[in-house]
Amino acid sequence: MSQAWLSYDDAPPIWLPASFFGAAMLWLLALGGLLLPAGMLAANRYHPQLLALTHVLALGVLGNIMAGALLQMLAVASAVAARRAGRLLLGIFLPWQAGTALLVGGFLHGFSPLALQAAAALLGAAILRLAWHGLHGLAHSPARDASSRGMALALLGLLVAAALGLCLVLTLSGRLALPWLPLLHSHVLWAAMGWLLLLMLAVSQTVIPLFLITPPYPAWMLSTGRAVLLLLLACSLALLFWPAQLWLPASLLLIPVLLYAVQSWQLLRQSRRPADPLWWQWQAVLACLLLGCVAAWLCAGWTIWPSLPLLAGLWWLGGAGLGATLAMLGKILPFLAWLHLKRLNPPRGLLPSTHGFLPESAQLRLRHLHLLWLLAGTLWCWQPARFHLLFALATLALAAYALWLGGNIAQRYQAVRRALPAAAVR
Amino acid sequence: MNAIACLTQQHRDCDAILAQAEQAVRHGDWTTAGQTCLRLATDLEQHFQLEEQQLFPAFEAATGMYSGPTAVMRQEHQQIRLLLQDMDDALLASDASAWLGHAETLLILTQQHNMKEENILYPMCRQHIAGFEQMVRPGVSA
Ligand SMILES: [Fe+2]
Repeated sequence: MSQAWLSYDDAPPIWLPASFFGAAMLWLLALGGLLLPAGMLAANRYHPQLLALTHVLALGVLGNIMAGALLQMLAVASAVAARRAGRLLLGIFLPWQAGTALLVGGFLHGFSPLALQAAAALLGAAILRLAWHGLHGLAHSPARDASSRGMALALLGLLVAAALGLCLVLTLSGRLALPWLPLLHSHVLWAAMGWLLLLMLAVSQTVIPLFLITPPYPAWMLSTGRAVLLLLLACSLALLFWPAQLWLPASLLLIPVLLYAVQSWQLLRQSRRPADPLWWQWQAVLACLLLGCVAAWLCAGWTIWPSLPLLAGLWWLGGAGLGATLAMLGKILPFLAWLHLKRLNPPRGLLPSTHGFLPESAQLRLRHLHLLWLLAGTLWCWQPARFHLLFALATLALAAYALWLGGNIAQRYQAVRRALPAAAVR
Repeated sequence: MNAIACLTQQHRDCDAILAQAEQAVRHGDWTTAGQTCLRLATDLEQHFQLEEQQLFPAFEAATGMYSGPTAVMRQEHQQIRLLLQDMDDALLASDASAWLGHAETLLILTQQHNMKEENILYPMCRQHIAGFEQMVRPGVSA
């Protein structure tokens, strides 16, 4: 009998996902700090400051939330135990933060080969550890649902994106002589679609019907995920060997995004809980996905407007990615706090409900702040010199508010713990 | 409908009733909310009884695992029952914000509970319990 089976109660201790989520909010604060100096005066996707900002957002903010949520989701939905949480913290969390910091530092200090190579080694190790935990666990799990299989696909996407990133670092630091532009485009595609989009697809197939009470996603959604991986492979091969034919797989990649968005919209229309803040949040996520992928598709043929790649990145990572992860955090974090305290058997009336940890009104304010941030970011992509301070302040405000909400949840958690009878806390 | 589809349908039906009660509370319609909550408590209890009285003991007997997953599922059923009581208290006090808070907690708790049952426990039951299909029949949900 499968070992995974016994692991129902082996969901990670609350400090494991909380570390990832807390770090993500601090990276969001760092993003604001990095935006303060006016480094990039005109939109330029290859500017070191832009590369640094992109990786702070992708790895520091989104990567941390996605990794923390993935560990939690693997334990609950797929019975992949996180038994040795301390080792996961050492093997994933710490190298992830150190690697991201070194990568960003490397970009900002003239592409320092030493920093970039150290970053690639650390991030590679962290990603390998995460992928091993997930893929090995899923292979031995009895779960065969769409989310479990989808998470495996997303982890494959992450592995390829990381391998391409490693090749880029080795090429930039002169250790390998590979064609760097095809590598770069492949890296961006695999990270944005193979990892981010596929994880969103996998997780939302479970959480959207569950939280918003909609009919389930159709079974072909899983095949859509597989098709994305095949099309990404075709794109990478085309970039390397037949650049003139790239338009075909790149255009075909629009179809799965469109299918996912249309299908999700249909489900949202049938939701039995449209009053939940998540309902509007998810509409915005879908709109950003479409805006982002159309902008990215236009980039290939329409190079006269240098803001376009920036907008594609902002809407994809900052709009869809950050919108989705903030929405998920708003659901997961209060519930985890509640669940862990509930296991200590508090006397009736002591433990507040999830809304007591994070009221719906706070979630609404966070959503509005995120939309304003996105607007400021759009202006910044258009004219970076003029709007960098606005975008920096908007980022700092968003980070400060999210940190304040997180702090409130932590404070509430500690207050209930302290009020518990000594016997319960052990 | 096979047994797993039937048990899963019972989960979905309860979800729909909870959503109905939530809409009533958001509209301040406490009478409908009260009736719907009563139906929710009855249906949930019926489903729990089927699991706790028949399915789980059969699984425990077939696998020899008494303190494993079924113990966790029973404990979560208990937490769900307590939340239903909290919702009942809020209903009696016509306290919408308290009710909505408890209802959301109940929703997430039941959803992650159902996910464990549907993804892991039910497939294992089908594998290990000889009369699993006969134990659960559509329409006869107890
Ligand atoms: Fe059940």
